[in-house]
Amino acid sequence: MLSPSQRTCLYVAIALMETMTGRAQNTATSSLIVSMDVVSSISLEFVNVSGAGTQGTCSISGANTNAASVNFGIASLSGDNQSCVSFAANGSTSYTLSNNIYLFVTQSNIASGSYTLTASLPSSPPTGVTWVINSATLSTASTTISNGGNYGNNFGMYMQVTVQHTVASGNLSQTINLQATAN
Amino acid sequence: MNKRLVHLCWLFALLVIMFVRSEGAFAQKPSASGTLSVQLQNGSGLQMTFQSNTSGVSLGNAGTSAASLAFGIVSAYGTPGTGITLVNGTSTFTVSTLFNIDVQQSGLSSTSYTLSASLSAAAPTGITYQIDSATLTTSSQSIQANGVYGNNIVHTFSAIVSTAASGSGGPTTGTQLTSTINFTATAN
Repeated sequence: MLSPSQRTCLYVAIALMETMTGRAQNTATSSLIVSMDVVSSISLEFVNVSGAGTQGTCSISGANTNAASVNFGIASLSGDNQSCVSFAANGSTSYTLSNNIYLFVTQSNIASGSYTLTASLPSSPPTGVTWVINSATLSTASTTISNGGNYGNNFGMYMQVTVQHTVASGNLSQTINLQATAN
Repeated sequence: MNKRLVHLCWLFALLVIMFVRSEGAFAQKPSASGTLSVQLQNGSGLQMTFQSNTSGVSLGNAGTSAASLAFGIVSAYGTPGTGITLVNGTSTFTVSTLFNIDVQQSGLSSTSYTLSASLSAAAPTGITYQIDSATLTTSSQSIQANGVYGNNIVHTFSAIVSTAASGSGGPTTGTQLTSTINFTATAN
């Protein structure tokens, strides 16, 4: 037989338990399973460096992308109308235009300390026109430009095009494909 | 005359008796009565489901409380899949997507809920998970303090991936990495 005070205590305890039970029910749980497959990757971008636009280093269009362009202007044995292009006449037989182009290669999730850079032409240039990068003459075959490129550093390509005086006037625009491969 | 009156009186009395008996017979037809006591207590509870966001990755088992979110193949310089945003940082890249959480309540006077989340196990090496701006761990992290019931509330799930090589602090490459995120909605 409970005393009045004991009965009151029991009622309070029951009420508290009901309250706690009610609170525990006022939650909802759920789970979300997230999955992904991380793979290695390399980025190659053309960049404008400090001083771009001055002679020897033309500014490129499409900087910080992998599809850039540079304008070498109109050239002949008498010179080039683009001040940023270095011009040299090779006697009266040809002229050479030269310019520095920079690219920037980064890697992600690769245990590689360097990369190999190769270049190729999608189609052969007209006879009498020669394209050179860092002393390597370009053709439709892949040509190694560097086999020890450092990630995260601007890589300078000294690009030259030599045009023989026998080449007919006209558009000599050329696409050059570059590829960086992790070593 | 008096005799005839007496006969009529007896006849009336007989009819009354027959009528009363007839009524009594009707009154004695079998019958039963009962009372049904129905007990019902309206409780309170919450329900939480995941929903795909139209701008995010389509969830597996959307509309349930056990959904999946597949990023597929991710890389720093690859093309992200549909609904995935890719941002490159200095030594990390982040892939993120939107998803919705819908919390419904019943029997509550509460008008909002608190959402928290935790990882069921530590995140894979080289990867950090975030919901909105909260970095997830195996401990419960508050995601939202005042979620409104009955709304598809948009959240952002982000995976911040180290660009380091596997074995040098970066994630294992070329294999599917899976983590389970547990969410809890609690009525305020």
